[in-house]
Amino acid sequence: MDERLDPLLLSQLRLSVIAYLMVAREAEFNELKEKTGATAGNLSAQLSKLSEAGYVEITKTFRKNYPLTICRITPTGIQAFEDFYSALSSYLDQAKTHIHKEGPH
Amino acid sequence: MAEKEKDALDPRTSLEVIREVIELAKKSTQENGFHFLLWGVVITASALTNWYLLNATDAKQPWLPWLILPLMGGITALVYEWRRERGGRSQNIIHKWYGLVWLGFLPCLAVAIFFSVREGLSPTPVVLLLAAFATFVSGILLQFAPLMWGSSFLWLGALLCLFVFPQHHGLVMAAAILLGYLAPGWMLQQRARKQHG
Repeated sequence: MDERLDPLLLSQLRLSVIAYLMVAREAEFNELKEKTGATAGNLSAQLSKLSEAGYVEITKTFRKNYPLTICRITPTGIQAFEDFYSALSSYLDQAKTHIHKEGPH
Repeated sequence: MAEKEKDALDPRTSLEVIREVIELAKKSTQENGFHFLLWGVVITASALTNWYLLNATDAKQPWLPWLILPLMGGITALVYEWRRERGGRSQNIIHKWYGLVWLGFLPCLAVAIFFSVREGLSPTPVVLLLAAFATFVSGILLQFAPLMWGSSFLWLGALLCLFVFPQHHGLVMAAAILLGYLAPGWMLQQRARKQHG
């Protein structure tokens, strides 16, 4: 596996959250839960990891007396995703070239 | 950086996850064109009714359609947004920015109409200019080219008003809104329908 790939984003749920937020920029917890198909507990745990790394910012507020959690991607998160995507693309390109030269095993 | 996990994704799967999620997010952040359709119909109907009352009848208050129809449109828009929020549809940042653009448009519209009427001028050209700008910015936010192109019909309509008698500005406005606002709104709705199945 390529060492340049951010291990924090090599998790399906964390990568899905960051990729979703790259387009939406911010989303409610329930929206992320619905779109990723994750359980509340797992999503909450992965969001905490992303928040600790400074990739997302989590705001807890209220809407009509109901708790509302909003997740927002940070500039660090955007940079991390862009670096991850570029490392991923170059890794796959290299792999393709290798297969082309050596032939599939 | 986090330690590598046992069930870490391989690069190919990572790319697939990114593609799938970005496609999903694009669909979720799309507008369905409801407000463009609603206000397109309201403004076109108001402009045409006002033009008819002004030119073909002796109505003492030909401006009344501009009061009644937008009021009905405003109530409809509020009910729609209330039901949308009640239905649990979450607010995304694109929707929020797009709403703020049109919220900023409202005081500009009110001041422009007030000044034009006070100075005895037709408010149509300046209203079309303001609507063109807000439509253009909406097109950028929603990444929808027909809205960006549509705004040029509104700019052209404003320019055309210079060469048309003010009593016929209603016709210019109706045509500009129909082509530059209602038609792109309908296309936006068609796109949303197609993508949401």
